[in-house]
Amino acid sequence: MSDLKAGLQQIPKDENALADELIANSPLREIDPASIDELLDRVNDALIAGVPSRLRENNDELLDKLVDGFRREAAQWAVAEREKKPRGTRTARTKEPVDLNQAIDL
Amino acid sequence: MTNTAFSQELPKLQLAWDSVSYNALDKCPRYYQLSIVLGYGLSGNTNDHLLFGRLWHSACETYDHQRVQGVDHESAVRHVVYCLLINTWDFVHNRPWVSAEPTKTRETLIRTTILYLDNFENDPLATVIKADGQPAVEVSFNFDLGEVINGFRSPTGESYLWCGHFDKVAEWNGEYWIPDKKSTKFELNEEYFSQFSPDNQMSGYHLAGQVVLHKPIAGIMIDAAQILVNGTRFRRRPVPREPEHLAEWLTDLRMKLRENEEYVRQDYWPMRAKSCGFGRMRCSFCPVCAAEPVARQEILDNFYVHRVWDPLETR
Repeated sequence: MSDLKAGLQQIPKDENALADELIANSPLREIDPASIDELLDRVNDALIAGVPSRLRENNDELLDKLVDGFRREAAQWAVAEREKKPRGTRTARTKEPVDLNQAIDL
Repeated sequence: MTNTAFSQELPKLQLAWDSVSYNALDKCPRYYQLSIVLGYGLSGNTNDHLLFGRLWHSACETYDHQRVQGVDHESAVRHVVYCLLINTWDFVHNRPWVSAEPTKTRETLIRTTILYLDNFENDPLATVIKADGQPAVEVSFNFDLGEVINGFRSPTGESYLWCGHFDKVAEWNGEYWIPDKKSTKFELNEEYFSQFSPDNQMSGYHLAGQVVLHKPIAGIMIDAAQILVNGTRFRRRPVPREPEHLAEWLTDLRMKLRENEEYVRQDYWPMRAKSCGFGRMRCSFCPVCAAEPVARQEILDNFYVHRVWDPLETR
């Protein structure tokens, strides 16, 4: 397949080996409440730095925040979707009020 | 490159079939010849839909393994997210997976996986635990089609096999079900679910579910995810198949494999021009078929790559 697949093939399959890879002295250690984009940036910075070392052990907080962030965004999206007006119920875009009696007469 | 799915005696005769290769033959014999018999595929393009599906499936498989080991839901979800972060990292170019499909990205993958696992944390469709204590997930199967079509054999006397992989085997109210995850950007309405009837993959699952498990399955259950840029919705729906449907599907399968034997005998797989498609649905081999026959091999050599599709490979 693609370059991506070539990249993925270099990942050790053993999950425990993966777990030992992420960061000791990485930007991941300094985490403030952040957006998903910011949290992912932290992850990416660590990976770019070639850090993989103990992400889970040292950075449960990061993963927790990431998981919670995705859940929170999904919940907000679901609420916004529910509050959308169903199709066909939007009000007409007429600026002047319509006189229905006149309309019927016409 | 050898492909163990093909006959030792007639090297162009496929014996081990799955829904991918059978769909190819069903779509167009020439497409089947180029993609499966000769093993050509477009080079350079990652199919982001396939990659998304593969990663989502393996994430859910990892979750099931974690839960069987006694890991609680939250910790298992966190572990899965960790694995996804690593597995969507391109270590060659030192960057995250860059998807050309806005709804199938690293972010939508992680979000969809978390929400799916949360949604089905206490799933009544409980994953079957095998005798060895492992969850019955990504279950590879194959069986002799002669078992279900009386006396059905290839012209060489070798067996025809039907192969595939179940996402998982689940149990509900004492009956076995086969759940199958699908993702789409389209609305999960009746029209969406209608695409699975008829459908070769689902019919093959139903058939295999009657043959390869300890007891016949009650049905297939589609877990569909509508994946949008900002949100994901899920909907679960059974895919029905009556015994008459399966009998008809087997009749069609037998006739189409017999037709294929004739193509092999003549070493000629005809084009089905009405299957070429248009726009984004255009067949990837149209530039080959549209060229003069004398120029086709050069096009294949320059713009396509070789890969083996072997239904006998287990996961």
